Amino acid sequence: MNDLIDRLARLDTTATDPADHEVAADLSRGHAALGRRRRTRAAVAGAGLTLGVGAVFGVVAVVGHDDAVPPAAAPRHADRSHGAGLQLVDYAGAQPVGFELAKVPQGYVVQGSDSFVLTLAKPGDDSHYLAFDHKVVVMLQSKDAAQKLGSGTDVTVGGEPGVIEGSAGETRNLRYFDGPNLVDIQVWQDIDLTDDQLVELAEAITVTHDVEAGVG
Amino acid sequence: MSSRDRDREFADFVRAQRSGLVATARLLAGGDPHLAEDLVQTALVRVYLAWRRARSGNPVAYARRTLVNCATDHHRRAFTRREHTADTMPDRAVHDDDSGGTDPALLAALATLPPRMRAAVVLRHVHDLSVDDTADALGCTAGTVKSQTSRGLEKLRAALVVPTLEGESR
Repeated sequence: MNDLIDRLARLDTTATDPADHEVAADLSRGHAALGRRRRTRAAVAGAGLTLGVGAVFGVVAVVGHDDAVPPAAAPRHADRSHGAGLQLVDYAGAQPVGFELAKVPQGYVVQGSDSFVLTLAKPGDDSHYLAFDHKVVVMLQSKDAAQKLGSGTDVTVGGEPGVIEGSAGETRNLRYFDGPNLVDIQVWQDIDLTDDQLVELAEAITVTHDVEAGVG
Repeated sequence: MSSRDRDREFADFVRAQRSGLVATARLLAGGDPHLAEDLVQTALVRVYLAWRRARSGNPVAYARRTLVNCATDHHRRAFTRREHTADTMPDRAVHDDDSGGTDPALLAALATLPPRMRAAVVLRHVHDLSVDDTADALGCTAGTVKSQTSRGLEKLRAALVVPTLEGESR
């Protein structure tokens, strides 16, 4: 009787503490899930608003339609290749572990790096470098994750295909292949870089052979 | 609470609790380390999304309950229940036995228990949680925990009995 209980109790082995990159990966997955949830809610709310407004203006248009008046051109979406609030500047500081940096967003510094992740933040940001709020983060896609670009805006980084997931005002992730590695650059939602600048930043970052992909 | 505070608290929580959750998940997953890691990652994402609620009570209990739900959800999915046919025998991953005090026979016996019953036995007798804490993690009553663990132990004993040539068990 007690033999079974004892055997069960012995299964409770003491595991080692998680590595920093595992913690970072859990945080990153949490951020991504939060972003997806916000986008979904915004899309649902936007669709509801569009239907409501469309219904009202549809009635007006049917009543007051005039063939002689050409329809107004649809407003263009804001072109994120213009009007950036931030500039990329040449990086002159010490090169971080595992990465070689040629440019950084103006006003940002290397907050920390290890064999798995590089974090750029504003000077004076006293948060842990593995907390990614309001920062630019560069890492390799986890070994355990699908090595795919995923869906988003197609771009080209250094001649290789890439994808930017997320749109204006959201946290965006640029994923692109650098040789066999799938690099992931995450830019927090309040960092005003255009998609073009994001690509330019990616092309100014070299991920050396010292960088490892996390697991999990 | 700012998002920065949430990230800091969550990171501290993950540092302190992740290993324990992985150990629990591995038992819930019948010893499969890859499924265990998947379950923990899914559970931690859910905990992150609900961090305000989780931290308002006992975040460890919340994470444990989420993990058990993830394991149960996994077993409920039609894909995992359905038998798949293939032209050739699939390659099977070899699991590294890096969990120290594993007991292969007992792990195999645990894997035969229904998910909720397995979770009750694991939390109650492997992690030595009280009946009330186990009930909290499973979202059921203390009486259900007692009956589930009792029947679970009974099934484990039956599964672990080694038959002899004479037809007796020892």
